[in-house]
Amino acid sequence: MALSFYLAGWMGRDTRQSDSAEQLFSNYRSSRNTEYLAKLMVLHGNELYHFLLRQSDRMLAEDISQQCWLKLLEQPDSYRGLSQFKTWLFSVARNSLIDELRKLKRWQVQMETEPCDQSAPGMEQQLINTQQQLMLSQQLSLLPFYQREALMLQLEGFSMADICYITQQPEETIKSRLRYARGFLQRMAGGQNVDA
Amino acid sequence: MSTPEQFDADLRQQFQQDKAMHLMPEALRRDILHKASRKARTSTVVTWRNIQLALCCTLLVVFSTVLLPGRQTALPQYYQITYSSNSQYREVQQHSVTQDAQMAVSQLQQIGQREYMTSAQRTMAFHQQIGLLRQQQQQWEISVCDELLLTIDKALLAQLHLSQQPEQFAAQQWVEFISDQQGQLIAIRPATGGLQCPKA
Repeated sequence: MALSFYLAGWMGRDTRQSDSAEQLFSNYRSSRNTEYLAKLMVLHGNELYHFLLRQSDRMLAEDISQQCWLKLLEQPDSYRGLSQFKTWLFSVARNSLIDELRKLKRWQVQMETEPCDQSAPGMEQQLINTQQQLMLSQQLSLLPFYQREALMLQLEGFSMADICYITQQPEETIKSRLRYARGFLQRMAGGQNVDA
Repeated sequence: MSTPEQFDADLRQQFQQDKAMHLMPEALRRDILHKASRKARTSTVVTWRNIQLALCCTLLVVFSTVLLPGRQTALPQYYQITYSSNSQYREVQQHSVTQDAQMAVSQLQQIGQREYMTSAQRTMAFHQQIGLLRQQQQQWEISVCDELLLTIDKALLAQLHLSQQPEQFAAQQWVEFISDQQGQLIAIRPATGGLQCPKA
């Protein structure tokens, strides 16, 4: 992938038909034409922003989004084509977000909620009863950071390998987080537990 | 109650709806693109400035190497004496200039000449001899009977203190030559009288 990425920079600058993120970024890096950056933002800007928004709040999501895109401007060589552009972008965003949460002393708060307390059925049942009709965003916000992260990345269309790459966690850990997250949301929705 | 499959489909649908409702703010997008444009312009200016600097440095190097070659490439020449003997002369000294890590001939000559000229009388530090000069194609030869033969190459000759221009010396004539403590020639001048060499 890395080789094809660099070759694309040489051969594909004028190939307007190919508008993959990797191609667009390669073109941007070699030309510094912001038109390519704008197209990249159309492709992945909303997805990245949504991911960050659900993992933090509006202000942080905007800040981290900006940081990620500006990193492309300042360090265009930081993406070497070893993964898909979108995977790399989410990985950068995720690390920036965690750094920022640590700076703001909000990381500890996020971590304290994990692991999901499965031994409090009374409280969970209470939540189910009172928030049956909660929007997905609100349901997601009830999940611990890592479980929400794994679930959102999966819903975003990333493969298991991509999620492992972004989170730097083994597959078993990710599967476990996904199982807990889905189970919780399914119980919230009043459905059958996927664990069952 | 919904099946896991139904739940999964609902979840994905809700996720897409939620995403569609929370798009990246247009102001943020514009701000990033504005910064990108500004960065690109700055980058172009910096690149152009670097190119100019590189061109100036290149020109400077070219100027110093091409237009001033002598100062950069010409290595200083140094005095060298090679001692030997043959059947005709007890001692043969070949005086020449070469490239060595010692003091330059011109410097040596200047120092030696200054010391010699300023001394009130000739001391033992300087050795004065009379010999017969014979001009050859590539060198001068000065012989002192069968005791000593000096060969002096043209390059060294050009740097020696001569009382007159080299071409004003006769092809063969008696000369007085002066050496310093190291045996290096300091001066050559015509001598009024010759040597009476003992016959072998």
